[in-house]
Amino acid sequence: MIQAIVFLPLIGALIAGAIALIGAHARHPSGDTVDHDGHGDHAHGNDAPLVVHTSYDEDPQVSPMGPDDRGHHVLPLELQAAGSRAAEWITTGLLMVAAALSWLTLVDVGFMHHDLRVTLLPWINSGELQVAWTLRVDTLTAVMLVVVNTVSALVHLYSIGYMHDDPHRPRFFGYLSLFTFAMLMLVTADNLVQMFFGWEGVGLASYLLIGFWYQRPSANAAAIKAFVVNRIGDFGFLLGICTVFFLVGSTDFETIFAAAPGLTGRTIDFFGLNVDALTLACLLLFMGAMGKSAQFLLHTWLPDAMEGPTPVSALIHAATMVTAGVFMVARLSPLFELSPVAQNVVLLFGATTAFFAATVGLVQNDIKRIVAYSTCSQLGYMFVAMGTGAYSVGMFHLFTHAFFKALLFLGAGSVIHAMHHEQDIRHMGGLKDRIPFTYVAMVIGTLALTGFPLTAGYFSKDAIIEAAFASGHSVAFYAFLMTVIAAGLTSFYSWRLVFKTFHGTPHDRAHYTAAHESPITMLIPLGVLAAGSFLAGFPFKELFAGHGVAEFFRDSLKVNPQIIEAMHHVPAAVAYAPTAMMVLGFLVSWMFYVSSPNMPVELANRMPWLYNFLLNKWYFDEAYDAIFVRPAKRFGRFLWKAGDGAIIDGLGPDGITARVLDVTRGVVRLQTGYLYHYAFAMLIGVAGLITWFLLGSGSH
Amino acid sequence: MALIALLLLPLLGGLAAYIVAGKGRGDAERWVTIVTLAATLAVLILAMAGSGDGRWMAQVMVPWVPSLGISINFALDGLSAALIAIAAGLGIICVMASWRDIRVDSGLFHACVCWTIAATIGVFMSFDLLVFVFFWEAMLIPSFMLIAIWGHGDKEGAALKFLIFNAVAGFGLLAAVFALASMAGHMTFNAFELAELKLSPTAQVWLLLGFSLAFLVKLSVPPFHAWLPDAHTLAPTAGSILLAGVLLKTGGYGLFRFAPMLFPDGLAVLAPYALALGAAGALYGGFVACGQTDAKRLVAYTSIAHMSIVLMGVAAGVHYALAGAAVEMVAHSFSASALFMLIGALYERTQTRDLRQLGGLQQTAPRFAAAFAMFCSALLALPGTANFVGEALVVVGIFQVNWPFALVALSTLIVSVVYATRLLKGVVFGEARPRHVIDLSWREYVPVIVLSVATLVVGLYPQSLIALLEPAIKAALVLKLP
Repeated sequence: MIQAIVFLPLIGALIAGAIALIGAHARHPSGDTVDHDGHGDHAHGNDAPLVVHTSYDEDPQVSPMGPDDRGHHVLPLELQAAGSRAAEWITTGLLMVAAALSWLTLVDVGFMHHDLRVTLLPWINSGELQVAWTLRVDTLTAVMLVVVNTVSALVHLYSIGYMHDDPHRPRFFGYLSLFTFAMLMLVTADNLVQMFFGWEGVGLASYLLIGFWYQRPSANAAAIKAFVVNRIGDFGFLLGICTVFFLVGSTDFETIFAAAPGLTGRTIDFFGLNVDALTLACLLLFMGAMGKSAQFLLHTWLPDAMEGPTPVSALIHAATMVTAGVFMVARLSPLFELSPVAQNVVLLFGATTAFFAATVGLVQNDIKRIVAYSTCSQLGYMFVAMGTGAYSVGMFHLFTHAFFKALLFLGAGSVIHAMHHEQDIRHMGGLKDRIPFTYVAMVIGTLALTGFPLTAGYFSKDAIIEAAFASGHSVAFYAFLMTVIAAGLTSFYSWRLVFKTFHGTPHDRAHYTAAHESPITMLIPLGVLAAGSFLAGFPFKELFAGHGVAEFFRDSLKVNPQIIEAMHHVPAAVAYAPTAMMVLGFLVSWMFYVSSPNMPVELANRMPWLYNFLLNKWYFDEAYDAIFVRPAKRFGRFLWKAGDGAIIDGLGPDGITARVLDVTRGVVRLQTGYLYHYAFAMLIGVAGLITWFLLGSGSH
Repeated sequence: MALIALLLLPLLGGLAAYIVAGKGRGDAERWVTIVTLAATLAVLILAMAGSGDGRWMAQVMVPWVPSLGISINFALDGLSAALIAIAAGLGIICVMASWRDIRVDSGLFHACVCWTIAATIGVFMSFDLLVFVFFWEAMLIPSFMLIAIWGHGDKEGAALKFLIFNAVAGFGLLAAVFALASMAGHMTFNAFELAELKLSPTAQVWLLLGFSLAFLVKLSVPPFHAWLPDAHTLAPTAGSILLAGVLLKTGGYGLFRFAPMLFPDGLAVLAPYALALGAAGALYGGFVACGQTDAKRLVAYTSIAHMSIVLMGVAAGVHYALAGAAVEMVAHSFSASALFMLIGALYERTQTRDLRQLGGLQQTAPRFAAAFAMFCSALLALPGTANFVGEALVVVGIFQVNWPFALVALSTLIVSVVYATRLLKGVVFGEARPRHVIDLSWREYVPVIVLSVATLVVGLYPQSLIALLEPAIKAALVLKLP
């Protein structure tokens, strides 16, 4: 069954890819078959310049663009690839099957305790390093299987509607399924190297999907940025893998966890400093998690990643890939548990991210970027849970967040679809009458995100805040403060989004009147996810954050019963703090954007520095550009122009090589005029030299 | 005898191609070359299947000039076999890639391809050092002609630079070989006998430096790389494929094979410097690649970076690192050849390699785009590609020996993303700048698919390759861990 779950998406991806290539072949005939229309004057097919004119190329003003999230209604000028429909339904169908099987697996593993390890093939065997392709299914994996496949199946379905006028749909669905496969390899990994395979695989898919609308320079830049920033994290991840392998002699999880307690107190010489080996390994691994999960300092790629089509943002940049870092820490919880320093670092970064991203989210105007910063912030919450040692609680938030955040993104996509690819909430307003279904879905998502009682987010987010308080030490208290404040900010920006989009008066009449509800393929996923935003909470509460944790997760992650217990005994003031902040955020938002809409403008005018600081995302992009990007570019150019030029030309323009070349070239031209005569002369010369050496040494 | 046939087949095939050129339907020389090289592959498989003695799959030992101690001394193990297979296979791909492009002096062109391959096959299996040197120098001539006659731009300058650098460095090798032979007491160039000599570490260091000069220039580790960017860029597609896929590997092969075998103590002394040189070279090649605007030149610089990683692997000397270096050589042959071929095909169509003038092939030539993306992924060592297995093993190995160097080797992974995505963006994404590009023909697509499959198979299941290389790796395991 697990083989089916993992490989069905791969099969879908391959089929869709084949359809994309074959369809492309039909539209872009190759050099063998092309009929040179208008170029029939070439005598030999072989010598004809490889140039073909297709119909749209003749008309310069018609650009063969697909639909565009920003631009207005672009006609589908490119022909639809043949078989697009088949590619859509095959990939979607396979994902539906995989999703259904995943739920069965969750029951089978979580409640029946049928954990599973299937070894498929050896992978890398060299000396001590023995890595195999193995699928591992325990409760932690099963939870991720459910999250990944459910959201992926819904996003596939949604994309059929959302991408309906894009000429490159087979490619799109192929990428989506490929991503799903890589993500499944990541969560079923039984060793660090296979996890890294999935880890980089999702990175590639993310790169391809962010840059899916490849004609847009901004999309290309965002895709590259995402890949590079992730690789910086992966640099740490790989180094962490090396460290673990160096310490334990294996990359298999079981072996590592068994050996880990014996490693406490062992130190590694790190540039003359004696560093605790486990702490170093955990911190390096966490660097990978920071990159993938867009934590503070390595977060800059996530907002830019919104250049990708909206279903991609829902699947990759909200529900699944960005949570891979959280999953990794949970998977390695027996390791992190042994290093309090590493845990505190996780806590620190998580809390800072939760607060930082929420502040930036307050003032953004792009509907997707608001949700993106919200994702970033919620990922911070999950890491706070990890840092306190309440790993199952972090997984709980990962689980509920997947539903309501995917809902918010897909809802935002539905708004964008209705508004003909308008994303700026300042141009919206009053849409609740035009797209009521989407409105209801977005409100449900917002309620869950802000932690309204009885929604999914209420249970998981409050549990995190309680866990932070219950931990009791100073870093945890910082995390507690940050998460409580962020809860208020979250409520404010979430309702701001709803009010500015759906309430008030329309700011763009033309768009308003043209707005239309989305097709059924898009509404079904919204409905399912809206239901999930309620159902993922209460029924799972005991399993993730209550007394059923040890029974449910067993050995798949480290369970600390004392913190779970302490969570249930926090003072009432603490327990109600997030709810109070939620109400406060809602009220401020109501005041700012419904009852007296002039207030935010006045406030921004009164404190322009703060407004600009937030609007420019704390100036991280500018700072990184000045500190890293431009110096690196300068360095590269310096090496190339000054360094390499000098070496190649041999110490300057009048260098040795240049002189030799000039002379030899002159001699060659003078004497024969044919280079290959010179080559033969060389051969004879070499032969002569060999003979000379031979005779010379032979005479001894 | 199979080994002799392995050498003679491409040699005579080249001659035949030269003679039949222009006869028949006009493509006779191409078919002759393909058939010859396919036959070479078949003979190789026969030789590999033959009964060996465990260490060697096949061996030939015929005295040639007994008075001077020169013999035909060929031996084949997994390392040799893998590299010979790559040489012959890439030869076939060269023919397919040049089908349209090469129309002038086509007979001589195909003869040069065959002879280059014949000479490198000689290099990959000679254990008589003088014969080794002979093949080492001999491979320069036909490859020089490939660049000088069928290249682009300032092809003569590039070819001369290639020749001068490699020939001069070759004299270092030659001198060291004679010096080594003179220490044997009796006349012999037999590497197996010479390996038994108990030389002082100092002598070993000096001799190894002589050998290394030739090997490092061929491997093009900075600062010995000066010939490579021009030669790779200005060579015809087939020349670039052979240079990157086969000729660079002779340098790596030489180090891998002879440095531990002949000079274990010398290697122990020089290994830290070699690690440093490789680390600097890997970063240098990567950074310079990031700044290129010529697609082919960019790939040329990535070759420099990757070959520096091979050097690091050999210098680290532990099992993972050696296995990684060997796998990396194989992987680089696949990925660099494929990229050179694709860029060559693109140049044929658009007459430009400038990344600023290219773009949008995703739209105009989707199959080309898919193939290009595949090999850009290999270039940045994505897990699942052979390149990842090679680089990861090298890094793991270096980590055991000297972890700060592992840090440098790993940081090249970040640089590689930058240049690979730049290349991909410049060619495949963006607006369709050359608005009319015909997609790949089957003759171009088949080699690309073969190389893709090879890259993925080695990437996903490298076990068979590592097992094949195992005897050679064991033989090179002479360094003691610090």
